[in-house]
Amino acid sequence: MLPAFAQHVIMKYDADMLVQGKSMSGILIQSETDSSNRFIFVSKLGLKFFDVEVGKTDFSYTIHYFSPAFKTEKRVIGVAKELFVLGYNNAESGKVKQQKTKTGRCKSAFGLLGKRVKVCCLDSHTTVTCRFYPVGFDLRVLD
Amino acid sequence: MLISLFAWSQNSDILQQIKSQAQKINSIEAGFVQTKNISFIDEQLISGGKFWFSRPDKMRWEYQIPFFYSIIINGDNIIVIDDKKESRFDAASNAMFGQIKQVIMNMVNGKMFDDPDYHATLKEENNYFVVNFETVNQAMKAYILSIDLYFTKSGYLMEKIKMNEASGDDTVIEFNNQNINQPLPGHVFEP
Repeated sequence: MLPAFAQHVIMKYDADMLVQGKSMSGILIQSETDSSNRFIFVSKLGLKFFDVEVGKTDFSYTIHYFSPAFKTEKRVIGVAKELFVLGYNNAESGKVKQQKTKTGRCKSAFGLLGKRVKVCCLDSHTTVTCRFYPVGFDLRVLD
Repeated sequence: MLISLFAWSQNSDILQQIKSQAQKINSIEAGFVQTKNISFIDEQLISGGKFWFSRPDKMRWEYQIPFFYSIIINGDNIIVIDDKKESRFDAASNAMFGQIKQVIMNMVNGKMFDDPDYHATLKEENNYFVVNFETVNQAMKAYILSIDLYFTKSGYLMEKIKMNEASGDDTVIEFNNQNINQPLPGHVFEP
């Protein structure tokens, strides 16, 4: 249970995820607090696939549950990465976040463009570099 | 000692009656409401749809709200329709779907009572006899700790299923408008 003082927003999606070549279809529940996004993915038949919490500002994650049927180290990391990107996508469009890079700390902007996430980075030399990452999920908001 | 022996014998009789009643079922058409309770948050996922079963090995389990998702089992052929996408599996060669098929079929046709992967005990709850099937199989235990089947005391009709997961969640399925042993059109077991 969450502590009573924690503010959390809950969203539910009809979701398809493609992780490490494995297609997963189910209901994705996102519980957002100030510091993290917790994602619970449940099959449509009711069985839980995973319950993973990812940080909002850095790529840290906690596995609360991961179905033994799908649990490989690669897949756990793959899922956590997808959810990290998803947390950004659901943030306010164009939101600026601090991010560590090889060249030092820089500011990044994230945005969802069709099936790609655009990540732009402005480093200390005021050079803007943008990269596109493929998106492995397809979501439809459930009422 | 005598009282406990009497209770054991009585429970054994009731279990036998529930089992023989289940074996008389040749077909079912019913509606269902599924409630998924997630232990971490006070949220329930509620879905619902229709269910058809025909002995020995045909079944259609169809969610109609809030999404469309259907599983059709016809012998070893398993067809999943997810929205408009159709996927086919062979229960004999796909371990996961093979197991899902086995569990669902055994719950309906009464074979679960003889399944060595479960240990059955009986309790009473309001108007129901509740058979608790504790998972004995270690591999299965990683997913499901136990399954409770709720049978009416009046006619031993199964009205509710509760699956207790290893993760602390549970899923409750309640059946409504059940038509037992009525002819079913063959097309319900086709995509």
